[in-house]
Amino acid sequence: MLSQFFIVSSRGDVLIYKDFRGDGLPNAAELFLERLKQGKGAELAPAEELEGVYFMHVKRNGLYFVCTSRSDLSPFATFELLSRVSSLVKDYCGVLTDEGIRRNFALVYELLDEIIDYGYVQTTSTKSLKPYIHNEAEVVKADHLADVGFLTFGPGLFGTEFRFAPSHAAEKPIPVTPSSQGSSRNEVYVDVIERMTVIMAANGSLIRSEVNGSLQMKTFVIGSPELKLGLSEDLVIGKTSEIGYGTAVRLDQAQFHPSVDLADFEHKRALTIHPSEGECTIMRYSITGELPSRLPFQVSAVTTELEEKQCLEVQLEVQCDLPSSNHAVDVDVHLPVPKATTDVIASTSAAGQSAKYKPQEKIFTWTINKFHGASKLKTRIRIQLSQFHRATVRELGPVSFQFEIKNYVSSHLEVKYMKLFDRQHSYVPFRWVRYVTLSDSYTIRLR
Amino acid sequence: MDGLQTEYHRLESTDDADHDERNVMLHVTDDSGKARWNHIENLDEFFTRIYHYHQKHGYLCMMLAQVFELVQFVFIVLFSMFLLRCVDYSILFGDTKPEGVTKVALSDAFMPLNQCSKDPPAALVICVIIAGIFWIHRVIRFVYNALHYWEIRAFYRIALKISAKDLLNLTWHDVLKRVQEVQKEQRMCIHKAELTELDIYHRILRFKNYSIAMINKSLLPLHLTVPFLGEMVILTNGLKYNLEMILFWGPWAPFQNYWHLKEEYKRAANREELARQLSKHILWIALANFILFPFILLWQILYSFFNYVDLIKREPSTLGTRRWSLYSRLYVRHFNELDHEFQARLNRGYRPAKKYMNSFTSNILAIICQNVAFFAGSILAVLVILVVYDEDVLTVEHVLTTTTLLGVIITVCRTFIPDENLIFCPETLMQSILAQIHYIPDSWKGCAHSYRVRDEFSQLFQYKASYFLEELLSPLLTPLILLRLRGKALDIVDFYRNFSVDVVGVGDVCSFAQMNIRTHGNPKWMTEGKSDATQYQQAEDGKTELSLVHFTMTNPKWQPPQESKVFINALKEQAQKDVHLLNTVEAENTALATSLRSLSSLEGGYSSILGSLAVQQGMSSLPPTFMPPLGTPRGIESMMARGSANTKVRGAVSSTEGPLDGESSGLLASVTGSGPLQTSLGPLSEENTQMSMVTTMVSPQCIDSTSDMNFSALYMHQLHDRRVALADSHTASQSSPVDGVDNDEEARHHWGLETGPSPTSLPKAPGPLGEEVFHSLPGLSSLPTVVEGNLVDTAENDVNV
Repeated sequence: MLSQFFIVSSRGDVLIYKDFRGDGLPNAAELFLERLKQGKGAELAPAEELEGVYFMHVKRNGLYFVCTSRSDLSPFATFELLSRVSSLVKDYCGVLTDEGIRRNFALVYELLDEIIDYGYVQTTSTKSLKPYIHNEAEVVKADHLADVGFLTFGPGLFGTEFRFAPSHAAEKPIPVTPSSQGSSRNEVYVDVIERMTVIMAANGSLIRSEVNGSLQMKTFVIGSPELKLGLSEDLVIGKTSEIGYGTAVRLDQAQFHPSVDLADFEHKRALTIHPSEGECTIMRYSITGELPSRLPFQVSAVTTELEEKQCLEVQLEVQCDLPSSNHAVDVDVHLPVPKATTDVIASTSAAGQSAKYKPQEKIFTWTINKFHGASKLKTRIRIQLSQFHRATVRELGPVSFQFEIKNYVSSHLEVKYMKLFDRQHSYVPFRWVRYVTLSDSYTIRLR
Repeated sequence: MDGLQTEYHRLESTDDADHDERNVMLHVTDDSGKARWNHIENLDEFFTRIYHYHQKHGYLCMMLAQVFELVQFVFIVLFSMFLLRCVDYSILFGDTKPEGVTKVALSDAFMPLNQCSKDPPAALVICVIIAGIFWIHRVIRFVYNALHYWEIRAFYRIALKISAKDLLNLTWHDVLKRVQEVQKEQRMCIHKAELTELDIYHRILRFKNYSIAMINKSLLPLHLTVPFLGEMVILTNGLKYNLEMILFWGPWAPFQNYWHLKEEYKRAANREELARQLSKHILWIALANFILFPFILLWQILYSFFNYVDLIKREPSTLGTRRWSLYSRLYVRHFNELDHEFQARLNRGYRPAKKYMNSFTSNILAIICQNVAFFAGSILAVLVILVVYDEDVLTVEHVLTTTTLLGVIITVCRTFIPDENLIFCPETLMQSILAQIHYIPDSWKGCAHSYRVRDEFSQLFQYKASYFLEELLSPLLTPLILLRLRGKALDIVDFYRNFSVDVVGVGDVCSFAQMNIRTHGNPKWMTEGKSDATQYQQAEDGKTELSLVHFTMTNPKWQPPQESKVFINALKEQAQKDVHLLNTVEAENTALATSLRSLSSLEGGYSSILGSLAVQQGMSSLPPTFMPPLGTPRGIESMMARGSANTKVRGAVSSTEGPLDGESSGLLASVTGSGPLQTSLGPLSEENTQMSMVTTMVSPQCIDSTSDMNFSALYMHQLHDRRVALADSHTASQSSPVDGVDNDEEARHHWGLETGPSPTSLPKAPGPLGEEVFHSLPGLSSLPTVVEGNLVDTAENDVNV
């Protein structure tokens, strides 16, 4: 049983605090914050014992969901609960941010009241909670910069529909009251998100490569229809030895949400789901070893040592191997520089790029807002050193990447169709899909 | 998934192959450029705009017309203000002379701008402000329309693949077909995979159908008994606007949006309450009309002044000529008939109708007018001669005015003086009118010569002058009629409830417009046994039946409902039998026909008879192999089209067609069951060769369905008349025959004999039928009776054989 629950923002504010049993430490939140400060940015252990009380937390989107208990709880059950709470908050508030929780604190307290009673968990299902929640969520407006692409398409006359929805379209609360239900549309959002982990040696050979993907779905539909999701028909799961040269989509392993009915999966590669409102992860998959497509980025660096000037000149060339129709956004190229660095001068060529040097961490960061596929970008960096040494040159690198690739997943997994069957209501929902590849850890060694 | 920049894409896939299993499918299109038009919310408006876009010849024409309308309005206001305030009439009329000027120029009469804009009267300011508001409203509407039609233009270009150039070459039917295609691939309407023609027509004509049905069921109290003038039908533009506002699109109208009735109107429990509300709203609108009437009146006067003064000056006879009244536009319109189809029909009917009306002359008026014209003419003649002798006469004051006035008087009088070369054949003309307008009340049949019918017809086909007068009086009359409408509130509510059906993918439509014989057929119009409509549910004047036939003619691909299909097939069979009869008779009649041809007046008529046979044959479902190679069906029908284009010929058609056609169906009863269908195929094709030789002029482009329809209308009316006459003849033996009243049971029995295959009562049929029917047939001259006699004889021979 839980004693207390609180949400702490990354800035150190206690957003939500709730004491269920009154047997916890009165200053638990302060204690936790204290621990955070001690860690100095390093990740905290997920479960800790402080003054005889167990602290367990998960971090979601920069927010710490923490609970304390005096009894010996199963930590994994608790983590599961905490992450359920975080996703419930997201479902009901629309977004999971500092601002969102601040604005909807009454709603969050109402939720907590229903989820946990006297330290015992009641229910964590979005659907079964729905009748008990009466607060309307206040929608937190997303950044309007993202709307630009949306507006250029213009509103269709006669109610014709858009072909694109902005990235934050799914970030809205599920309708609670009947009035908000009537006005809302039937929509289903599907995200195919892959995270890439790559380590590459200086000579270009792969040391490690891995892709972890997930299929997430956020639904806003009336009733509980049956949803059929068709994946690529040539999908192969399992690491078989006979990997042909076909175009088949190959996943090494895949896990499905327990509620997914896999009856049609064998023949048609179709998943049957009874989605409840809100977000859920339908499928997780991973590919290790040889990736089905080329790696998105390659780096070549040429280092010139100018001993008399006590500086290093690095010419960094990044090649993007994506198909030319795709592009990556917010590409950050991190280059750790030697400890003896006093300053870094970079000459980036074009607009939409910027360079930054953080003296404390000794990391040089080159940011590219938009990186088109099948193109090359170059930069020349001059690193001023306080003392020049042969060994200092060796401290350069490795280059690591952070990026988001739009509408591209390296596994080429696709959602082919989505059908909805409902006996009571006949409607065609608005179905939206997006494919994103994110970097988890993408590192290329320079030597 | 937070903080990502990637946009969502609509899921569009090509892979929808296995959609069948649960009968719910998602439609996804792959062509990204075209997917703009799926899930259109307001399809009513969309289709209406598509229609108007086509009818008004594209974007440029529409926009130009609207811009000029706006300019015109500004001009009207400015010019009338100028005339009121800035013209010094004393100078213009020469009462005072400007100093130092010997010759008055037009510019002298104008006052400088600053002078006339000084302290304007309050009334004028108010008028200008109102006009300004109205104009701004129009401008906003124009911009709104312009944007919408831009979208339609894109639709035409991208989805329908019709460029502006091609638009002029395409009929509405072509456009309709393409729209249906587009629906298949794009799903503009999400409730249905395919749209039928009827769905689209329903959407365009939803309110029109309601108003036609309401007129048809005499729901709207438009008949007004005016002292001295007798009964009149009042329907002016203003009144129409108000009625439409109350009934269809106003804020209190029963319609929730364009395509759905409010829920409470569908429940019987609320009728009293709704009726009370409706009547209250009508009262309010009537009051508003009454209060605003000075403004409306002013507007009407201004508008008609500028619109028509020019016309009257140029051509004074415009006052004498006639137009189809607004009431007739609702009365004779079919359900699901689009504007252009309807207008074409009225236009074709105009000449015969005018002839018909002209053939009636008021004797007293004619004498007076003759004399007035004589006096006026003589004065005019003298003046003209004087002017010719010396043009200085013109400069004498009022000479020009007098001449103009006299000219107008003479022209007006002319219109009242009957044409001396006129042939009085009202029945014939009425037939040719009927062939075009398709609806006349039963009480007119056979009485076309009477003044009663003439007066009633003049309600449909009114003088333009009386139209203007009505329009001018409309602000006064509208509140009056609206107040009378209050009493009908309950009926209106009931009408909406009883005669609205929810059609999937279309919304609530008037059930009459579904043209279902089963629910709305009138047994007097050949639908016995097929219809189970009560008296209340039957459409009057065979509206359902004729509309059905009309719609199937204009949209041959449309699949009518089951009962309606049966009805049409029965009609076709009937016509087919008649053709056979005619053809068997024709073999002996060719001599007669040639002699007929020598009579110049009937020459056109003859070819038209043949044409009508051809049409009949076209109607019948005979395989095309029976058509001889020389004359394709199209060719024959094109000849028919020529016939219809030429009113003289058309008039002649109906004059001969009536009895001939009547003959055939009169004979029908005696031959039913005995004459095998196949025997007359030989003569038929033989006949066709003859026909094609007669018709050497074959133009490929023609309006085939119209002549077909005209014929069908006549044919159905004939059948209907026969049926009514039949019923009369039987009631006559028991009671005195009353016009239009018949004994249903009796009639049904006999009708069943006519169409039904049972030959048991054969001997009984010819006797009473032959006589009674022919007596009831209108306007038989001596010649056709000879034909008749022959036909009867041959037919009887046929029976005997």
